[in-house]
Amino acid sequence: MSSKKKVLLKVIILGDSGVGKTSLMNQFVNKKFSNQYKATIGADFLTKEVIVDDRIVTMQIWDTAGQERFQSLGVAFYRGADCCVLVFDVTAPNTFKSLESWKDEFLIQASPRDPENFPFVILGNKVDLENRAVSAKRAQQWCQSKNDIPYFETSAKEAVNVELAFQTIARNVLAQETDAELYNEFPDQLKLTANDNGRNRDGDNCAC
Amino acid sequence: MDDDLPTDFQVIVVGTGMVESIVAAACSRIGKNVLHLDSSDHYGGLWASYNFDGLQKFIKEVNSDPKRQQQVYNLSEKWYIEKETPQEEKKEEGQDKTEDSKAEPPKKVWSQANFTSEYRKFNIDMTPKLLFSRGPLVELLISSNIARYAEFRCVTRVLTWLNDRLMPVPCSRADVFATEAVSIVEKRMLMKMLTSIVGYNEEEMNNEFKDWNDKTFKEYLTHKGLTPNLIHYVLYAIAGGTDKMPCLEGVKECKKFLMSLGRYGNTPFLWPMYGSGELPQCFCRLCAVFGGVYCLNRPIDKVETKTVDEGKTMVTIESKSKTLNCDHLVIGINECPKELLSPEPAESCDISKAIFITNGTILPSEKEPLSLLRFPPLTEEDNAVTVLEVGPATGSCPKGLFVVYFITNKVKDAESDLMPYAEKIFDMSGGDQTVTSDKPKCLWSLFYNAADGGGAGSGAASGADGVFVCAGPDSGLDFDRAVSQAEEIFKQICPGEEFLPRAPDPEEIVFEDDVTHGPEFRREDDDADGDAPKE
Repeated sequence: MSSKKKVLLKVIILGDSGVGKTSLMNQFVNKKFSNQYKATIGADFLTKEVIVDDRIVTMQIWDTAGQERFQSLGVAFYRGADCCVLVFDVTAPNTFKSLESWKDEFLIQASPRDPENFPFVILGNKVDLENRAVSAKRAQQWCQSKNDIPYFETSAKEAVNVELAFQTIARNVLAQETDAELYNEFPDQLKLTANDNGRNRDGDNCAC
Repeated sequence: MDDDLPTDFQVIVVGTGMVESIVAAACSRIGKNVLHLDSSDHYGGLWASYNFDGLQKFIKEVNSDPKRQQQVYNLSEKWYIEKETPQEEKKEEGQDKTEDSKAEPPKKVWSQANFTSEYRKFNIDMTPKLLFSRGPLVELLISSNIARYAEFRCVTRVLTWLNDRLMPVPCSRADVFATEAVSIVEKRMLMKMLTSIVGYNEEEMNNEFKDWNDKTFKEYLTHKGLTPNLIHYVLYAIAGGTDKMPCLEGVKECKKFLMSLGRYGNTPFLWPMYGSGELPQCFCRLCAVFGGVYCLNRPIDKVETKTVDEGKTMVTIESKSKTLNCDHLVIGINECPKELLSPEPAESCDISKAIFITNGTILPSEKEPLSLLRFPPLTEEDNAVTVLEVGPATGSCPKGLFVVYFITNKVKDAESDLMPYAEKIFDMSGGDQTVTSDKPKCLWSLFYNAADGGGAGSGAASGADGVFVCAGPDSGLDFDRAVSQAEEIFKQICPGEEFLPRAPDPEEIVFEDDVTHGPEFRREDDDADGDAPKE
């Protein structure tokens, strides 16, 4: 086994309804696009393995499942997030304006230990559309003013920059954790699975 | 925006407590069109977890609103520490060494200001409960695939109060043989007894115990020749009973305990990471994934039922001057307009609860413990007291602290019912936190009483006119009553439908290539049994 540990990253995607969160996730993981998602039905979380500098990283990308529509995401959704993707629609200025409050909401709910340096990424989606209303410059300026958050212009429909954006997300999370092991605040948690023994990494769960 | 809220649903669920959330998930899962509302800005209702700030708000709100005191009352909060940390040697981040019981680093001196600044690190449960490793909720979480939204920790030990001190209760076979607290002869006796209880099926149980129907479990254990020590372990700690516990009930409780051993950890119990309040949210997420619409901060004003053609009823709800319609309304007891509740039940037994935050565990151990302590009643009229101690590894509090929950059936009021027990295991005197003593110091406490949601008549599901009222939290150790009530309600709303069939893993979802329909769920094995969402 390599000395480099396998890494699981929990990535959550936030942004107003209709900006393309589910489509981005689906394009990245399944390489598919559908015009038909009205509200998010059936979107839960998807996982994909990527390789970053010889390390295998499993990205687990969590959709809002539509609970953001009436500002009803519960705190449980945010638990243990390693990074946060904020999405807006370049044709809808109000979705751009919402970024600030999504970012704040994330920091309040997830309460990461180092909020100043928490890895965010901003995606301006739907650049394939004609009726663009938020300029790249405006978005970039905003991102710079927020401690230089990386910014990508994407099209989930035409698969523009989607791969690159998610690769960067993974890379940035790992870069923050170069020295220390990937940080796990609560080790040895138990997942319930159909077989009788959960993942017992601490080994003291033997009950014979 | 609220205006976008659709108005017509098959099922509207009001309140995000445990029962309501399970029903919402179950209905949505089989394709019902579900709207789920809550009047407050967070999930869980009476089953919620709060961070320290949220808890302060909750206390204030309840104390200033008599309407809310129908469910929770007698709230009494007390600090045992200073507002600010005194200026002297204030040790920062004094956690470089792990909590080793021998070479203890100087203890952090906590102030109220520390609690306030670290408020987000607290997750304090209003309804703390455990899961039996082979109990109905664990099985449901696994079979429905909702387990993917939650993480757990094993309870590491079961304690009891024996001969005026805390004693670990040997649970597993290994424990029984390792313990020095019981003699070899007692060990054999205990193993024999426990093995036979596990071995009984329903029928054998009825045979073996047919003459014990009107006798107590204690009489049975005495009859079996168990020594007083063993009777204590089995009756108080394993069965969680009192001297009055009926025999059959004791046997059933023991069996439940024993059947859940050996699955995940050393004890039969699991505790949800970040507290019990996470669990309703897991069910809500599943509901949302299957198309359920969520709207917090949405109080309802009025509920009316109308008979439309052919005796079919329709329920309408007024909410923020909008009219919402549904075939079935499922409503939590805490959200329910008074006129929908059945008349006051005759003296149901309420619950006395307390929460303590302390600066150490009640019984030091090598690794951070997660403990269930069952106190036998200290006096004749008292009830047994259940104590849960959870530490930082559960996400319940900052490092260096423990959160301890006390639960018993109410006799007088929470404070008088529980203070004598708290004094046995905590130092309640306040004062210097650095002084080492054999008991942890209590830094903060909250006593409160709660209506017993499991009590007869207090809003059990009726289903009359399409309205189902969900019970609030009961005093039981586990979630079993909530699960069974939710299933009952679901079966009335959706007769003949499967209760929470397994949700597909994300990888199993087949996305249509073309754009003619939205994504559809398909089970890999078989999708003939009503998986696909209804139109």
